[in-house]
Amino acid sequence: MTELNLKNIKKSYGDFDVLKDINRSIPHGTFFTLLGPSGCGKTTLLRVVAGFVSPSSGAVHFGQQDVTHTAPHLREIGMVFQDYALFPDKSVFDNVAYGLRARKKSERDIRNKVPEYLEKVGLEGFGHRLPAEMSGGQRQRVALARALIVEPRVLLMDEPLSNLDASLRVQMRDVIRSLQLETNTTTIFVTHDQEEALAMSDQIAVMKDGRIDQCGAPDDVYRNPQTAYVSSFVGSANLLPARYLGQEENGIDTYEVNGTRVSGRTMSKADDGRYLMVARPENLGIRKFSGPAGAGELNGHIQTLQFQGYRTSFHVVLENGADVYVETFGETTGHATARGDEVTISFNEKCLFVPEASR
Amino acid sequence: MNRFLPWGLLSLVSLVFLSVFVAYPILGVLLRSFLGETGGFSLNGFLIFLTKGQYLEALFNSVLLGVTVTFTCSVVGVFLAFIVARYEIPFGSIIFLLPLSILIIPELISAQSWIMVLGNNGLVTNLFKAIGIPFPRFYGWLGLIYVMTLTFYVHIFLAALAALQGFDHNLEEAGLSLGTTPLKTYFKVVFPAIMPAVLSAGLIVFTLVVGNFAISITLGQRVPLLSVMTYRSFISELGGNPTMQSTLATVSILLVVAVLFLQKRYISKRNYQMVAGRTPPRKKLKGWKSFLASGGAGLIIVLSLLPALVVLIGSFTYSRGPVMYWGEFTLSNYARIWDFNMGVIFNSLKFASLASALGVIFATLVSYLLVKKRNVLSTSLDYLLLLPLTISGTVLGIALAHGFNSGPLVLTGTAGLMVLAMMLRRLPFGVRNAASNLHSISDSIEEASVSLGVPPVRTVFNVVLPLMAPGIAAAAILTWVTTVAELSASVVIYQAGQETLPIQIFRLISSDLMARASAFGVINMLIILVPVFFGIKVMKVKLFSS
Repeated sequence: MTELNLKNIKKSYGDFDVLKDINRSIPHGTFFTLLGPSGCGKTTLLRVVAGFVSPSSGAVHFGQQDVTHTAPHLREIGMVFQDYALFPDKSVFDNVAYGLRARKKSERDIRNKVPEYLEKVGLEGFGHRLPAEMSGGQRQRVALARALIVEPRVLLMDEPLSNLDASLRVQMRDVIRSLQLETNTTTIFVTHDQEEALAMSDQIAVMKDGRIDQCGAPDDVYRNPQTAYVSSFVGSANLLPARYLGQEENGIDTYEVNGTRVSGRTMSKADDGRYLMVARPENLGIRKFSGPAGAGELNGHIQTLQFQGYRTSFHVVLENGADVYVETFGETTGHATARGDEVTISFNEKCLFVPEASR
Repeated sequence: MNRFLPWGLLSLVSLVFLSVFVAYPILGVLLRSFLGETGGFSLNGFLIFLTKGQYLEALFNSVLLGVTVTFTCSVVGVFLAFIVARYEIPFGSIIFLLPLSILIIPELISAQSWIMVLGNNGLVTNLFKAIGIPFPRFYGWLGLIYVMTLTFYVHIFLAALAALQGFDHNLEEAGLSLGTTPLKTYFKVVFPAIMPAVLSAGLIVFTLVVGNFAISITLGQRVPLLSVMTYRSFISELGGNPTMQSTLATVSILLVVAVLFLQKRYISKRNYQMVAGRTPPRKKLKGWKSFLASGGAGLIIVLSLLPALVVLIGSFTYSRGPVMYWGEFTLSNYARIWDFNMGVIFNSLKFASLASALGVIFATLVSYLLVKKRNVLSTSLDYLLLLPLTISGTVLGIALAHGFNSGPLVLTGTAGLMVLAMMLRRLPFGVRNAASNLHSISDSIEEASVSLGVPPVRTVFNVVLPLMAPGIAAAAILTWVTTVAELSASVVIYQAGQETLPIQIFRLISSDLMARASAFGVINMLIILVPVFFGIKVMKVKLFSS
């Protein structure tokens, strides 16, 4: 059982702090995703866990064992890289067998185990091939088998899907996730792709400037973003400046947005009183203009619209010039469907309010 | 600190090695040029250099020769590259022999063969004499420029060819579509784009010409040149006052440093990023144009390869003293080698294999340290590795001979110094080759191996070295080729009994014994050719990939 503990991890290069006090406990078997834009420190954190980067301070624990000063090759990890990092001069079989040979396993064990893992990743019979003779998706499957066959205490994956094309990426998500569940391996997965993170993870840590901004299950992070940054990085969000008015009798907070009253949940208090309203495009209503806007409504006109089959996306420009994006699903009859149409946007209580400073 | 070991220790060892065998001797040369007769500080050497006409004349001649040959090489090289890149010529497939020709035919043998054809007793000279037409004197400017052009144009040809083949044809069509004529398009669009590559190669040619020893001394008897004068001052002053030779060496170092500075400052900045485009199809030429293109290209190729043929025939030709009896064949030139001079061949083989092995091991190690394991010592290592580039073989020889003839480490006169000199001359190139090789190996490959439980040093042997192997093989062959042909440094430091093939050839040429020199030349070329052939054909090594 390997519970992974990151304790007060800091890393600086000169004056630049790449990681600022990371604390996290990751239970055994968790698929844990580090999500963030490039430069947020997610890869550095992964490499701290692997041992390729030593933290300026703090500790990494695998279960009861403090591995902070353990050399990477003694940490019993498995690693999958963005560029696959297959040994190009070795066959698929020898690539997968590499870690077993390093562990001095008998050739008989190796001959039994390698085909088993090749089968797990759907590559039975490919053992004799060289990496150059395989497609990107197949190479990443080899890399996955190579990392998993040593039964690592922690599986570390650094943007493993970014070099693949879109449809393959979706397919590989499934391969990775089901193998992870089958082997019940504690996994840290680094990505900048929020869709990937939402689709695969048990836990997502959204990182920004060397910190974990928010950590939680995918649906929790999506539904309850604590900051403006998380709301717009995970899923898309309309962010409109809001002013706190007060609480209604039922305890629901009320804000003024573009001159209209909107009520919703306040995710965290703003010290300076300046808020942003977070409105997911699919949580907004849109209808043809039919007179002055009421409470929780704003008027505007359709700048562009994209019909995408099961859904339609609208880019609406409000009367004060602000841009709002709205998505509707299924039948669009009854909605405004032409460019330039005057429309009314309605905000419902699913709208959230976060401090403006948390952008 | 266990993370610093073992790479830090290896960096330190490399640094010490380069400091002792490169920095220290070169520094010695520079310092000695400021040494007076009595041992104190003095600018006497430079004063003599500036006031005695012969030294300034030599400097002027060297620069003039450098500029002239760079220009002629550019004309020939760009012309040939253009024809090869753009037009179908009947013998296009043998073009690949050209880069080989500079490897296989050492410049000394090139100079020798042209003396045999155009020199005082040359084939063509005598032919002209026989029919009563006066033939211009070959020794001097004419011979220097002619032979150096034919020897060095390949550098510019290869650079220009690579630039032309990487040139995006769409740009040219863009020029045409905007209304410029085809000829104008060449001058306005194509030439400016390949110019940086040509200029960089041109500067290399310039430094090669200025530092050149073999051709300069065999053909330039009447033209005082810096490199020759440096060598002569060493030969005549050995054991005497070293100030003048050090001053001459310092001047030639400064000259090359100035050129390198120019390169860094102006040319490297003008390298255009070219989107890898489609190369234009080769056009078929008709009529006089075809005649001109294929004739011109053919002539250059024939002249480049002719020396090998001349020397081959010469080696089987009967001679008495300097007089060659062309048409009368004999094996006696080889028989003499068999009877008396096998030691020369063994010397060459021994020194070159030691220098190649040492050089390749050191270059592989240092390039790995520089590319993959950078630490506080790396920058110093980078600079130390540039040092051998700033000095010609002659200066290196003088620096080593003086640096190690007294003090704690006496090497002058030992075979070790010969090996060292040969190894050091090629080292910067070896490191550059190996480094470019390493840059293409992603760091994650090593990390993958380490993550799977293999310790870092074993990872290098398991994963990195197999991937570097083709590059190492190429570097080994190239080092071998240049060390077997090395003359300028070894001729300065060799002692009786340490003669190599080029030294022996050089001495025979000096005595005008061309037939015997030819036999040694053929053996020298064979020793070069065999591993090159083996590498390309059997091991499929790409010698010219970088």
